[in-house]
Amino acid sequence: MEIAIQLVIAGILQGGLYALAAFGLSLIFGVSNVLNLAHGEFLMLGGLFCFLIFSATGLNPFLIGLMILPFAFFLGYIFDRFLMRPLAGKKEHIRLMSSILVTLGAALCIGDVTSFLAGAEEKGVDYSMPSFFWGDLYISYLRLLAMVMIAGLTVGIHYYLKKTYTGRALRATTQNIRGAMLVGVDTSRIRSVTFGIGSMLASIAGVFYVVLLSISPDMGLTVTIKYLCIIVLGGLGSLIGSLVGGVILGLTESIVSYYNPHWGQTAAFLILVLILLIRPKGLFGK
Amino acid sequence: MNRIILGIVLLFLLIFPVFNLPYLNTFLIILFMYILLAESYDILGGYTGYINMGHIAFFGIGAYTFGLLWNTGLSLYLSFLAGTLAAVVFAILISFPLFRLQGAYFSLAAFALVKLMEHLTLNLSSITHGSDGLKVLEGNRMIPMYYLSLLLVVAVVVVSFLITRSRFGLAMASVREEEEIAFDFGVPVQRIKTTAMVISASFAGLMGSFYTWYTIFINPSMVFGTEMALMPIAMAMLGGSGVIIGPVIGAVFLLIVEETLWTRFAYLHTAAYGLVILLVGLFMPGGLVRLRPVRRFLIRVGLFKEL
Amino acid sequence: MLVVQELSKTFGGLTALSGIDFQVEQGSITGIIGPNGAGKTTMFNLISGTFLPTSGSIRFKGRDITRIKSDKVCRIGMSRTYQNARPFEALSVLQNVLIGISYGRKDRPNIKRAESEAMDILRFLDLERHAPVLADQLSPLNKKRLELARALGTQPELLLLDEIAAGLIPSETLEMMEVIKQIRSRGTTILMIEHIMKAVMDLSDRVIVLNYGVKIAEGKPQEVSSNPKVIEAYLGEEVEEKGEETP
Repeated sequence: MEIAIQLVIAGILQGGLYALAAFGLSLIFGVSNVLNLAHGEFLMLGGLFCFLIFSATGLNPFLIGLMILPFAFFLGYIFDRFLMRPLAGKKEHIRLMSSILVTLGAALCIGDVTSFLAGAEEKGVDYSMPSFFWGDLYISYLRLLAMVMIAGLTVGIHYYLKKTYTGRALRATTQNIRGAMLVGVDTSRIRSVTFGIGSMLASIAGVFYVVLLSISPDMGLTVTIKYLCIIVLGGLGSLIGSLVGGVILGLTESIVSYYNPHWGQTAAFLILVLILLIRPKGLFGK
Repeated sequence: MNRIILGIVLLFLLIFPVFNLPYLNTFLIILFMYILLAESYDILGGYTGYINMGHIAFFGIGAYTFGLLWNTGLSLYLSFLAGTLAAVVFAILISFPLFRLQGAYFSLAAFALVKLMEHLTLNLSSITHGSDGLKVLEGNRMIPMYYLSLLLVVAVVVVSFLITRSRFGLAMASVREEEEIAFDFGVPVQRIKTTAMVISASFAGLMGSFYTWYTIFINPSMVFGTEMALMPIAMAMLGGSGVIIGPVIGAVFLLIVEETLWTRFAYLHTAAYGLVILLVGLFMPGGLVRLRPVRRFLIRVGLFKEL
Repeated sequence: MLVVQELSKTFGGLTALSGIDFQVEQGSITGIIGPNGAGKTTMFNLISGTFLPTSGSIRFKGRDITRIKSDKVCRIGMSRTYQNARPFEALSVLQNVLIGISYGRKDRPNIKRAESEAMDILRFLDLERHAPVLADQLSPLNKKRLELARALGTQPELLLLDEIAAGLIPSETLEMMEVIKQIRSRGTTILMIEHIMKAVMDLSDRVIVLNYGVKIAEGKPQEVSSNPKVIEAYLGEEVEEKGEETP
């Protein structure tokens, strides 16, 4: 029983982490209708800078994560401004094609330059917090903290999208771009801002990665693919969809891995494909 | 004019092994393989507009089916046939659920299938030997492989050409432009898409079989890996999707760029390679062959055939 | 030729059409008019088999086609144009027509015969010199003509025209009306939707008026135009439109 609870907790944490990064990608996909294959690179960069600053200063890694947020936003914003905006307004399948080329090129480029400058080896921040027993359950403060922060962030994003002008304009653009333009939303700017937000979420996820797991310069494409799968699973542009998709994947991985470590990932992809066969537009898609 | 050019190129390629240049010979085999993958991808991706990011699955399934069956003592030709058929059967099976999806959803679901195949081949190690890879009977097969892959490239180009001239090709293009309206005008949309995928898969499956036979050893990341999956698609788009000569030019261009970078730069060749892909995607959304001067030249020599 | 009975369609909880009855006689031109949102295009989508009706039946040439999908309906002998011209943009004008000829009919003419037929149709619609041009390069008028050409390629016995005059200037509208008359005189029955009453009145043998998904009048053009319900429906709309302009 303790093991079951332990596994569920680990799965939910993993899933929440997935959801955090996946939701950024989902927002971008919803607003600009492009596949951003470079999303994982933003995550990797977030983790890397956290690692570098931590190694130099020894500051609390989560504090560092907070400090690099503006830079992550800026990076995403200019990425959209210079690489994605020229593709807007093209026919749908041409835009899809160009976005694949541009973001794939960018992903290869960022990954390789990073591994050249910072070394190709895996990196992790050695930051630990005490653990405690709750009844028979072994609970790590660090993981608990991560879970609370992810939950907080999710609620925060939810309110940001519902209550602020930018958030509402962003949702309007997702639902109906022409309509949004007609009521005076600057959709080009909203796209860039969305890219900025997406990049911020990725970099926060990167910080969690580097603290709880590890990062390496060539991880980008692999994690991007996983997040793309999650948003397809959940249905695009849906916060709850990303969350549920992420948790389903995280739980599957953690439970199956316990019985056979090799089959965790396989089971996750199997479930993804099965769900898509039953619900082609994802669990929460319309 | 176009016949003369094609004739000369083909003749040169036919007698090329006589010069006995193993390095270039190997390079050409790889080139043929990528041309074939890009061109066969484009039969579905370029003509019907369904960007199949899972195309490499057909190649990998062909490669593994061939290797496993040949190892059991099945004859070589039957094993080639089995590799092709396995890819075709897979294409038919996945076409029904996959073609309910559109746009990016289709692409991603197809890509998820490749990842699933990669993990399955890794984990079903009692059959596939997992990450240790699959070995087949050894032998030096450079020259026969050269001719087989050249033959397959010629075949896929001829098939593409026949498609662009047929009513089938017309129907494919109508699906790409306005699927619902094509259906209103009697185009059997589902059948057209499935047929396109089957043709596309059969070439990739056969090439996969050849590949195993030639390299003697394969493992999951060699045939299902992310870069392996994305490169042929990037080549087709880079050269010009929906134009027969497009994927050919894209493959030649990208492979030469890669080869040059690998030999010139000790570091950062992947970055430079990525940069090239990025720039082409950004500034030539229709691909190299749709650039005005290139297009004009190709039209003049009669090689610009698009659908 | 076409018999529609008790036809209804609801989307979610919204009723788009309810209890529509009407008939189209062979060789006639029938007009469907009504203000925006009256359910005209929905009606076309039901007849042509794009949507399934919630209830009611549609018979065409004595055959029940209520649940038959649009690809088959086309081959039985019914074809249509779309409100916003939607040609296959990256294909040439000729290829656009060829698709209708090759797939939209029971007989499957070979490529040569199909091409010569397509050229005949293009000649009839004055599009011959545009045959090799890509469809998205055409002027709005020519796009409308191409829609007609594509539909005619299927040799329809019943042709559904969805606001074929919308977006055209008056002289072009007149020209289009002339073409429609000619198509009818070749033996094709026509059912057309128009938003503008005037365009339909001169042409139609019978007119059906829809408002909010309900048939409010039917009859000869003169009868319908003096029907108080019809005047009210259109007046109501004009007032609304004026109301929108003031701020």
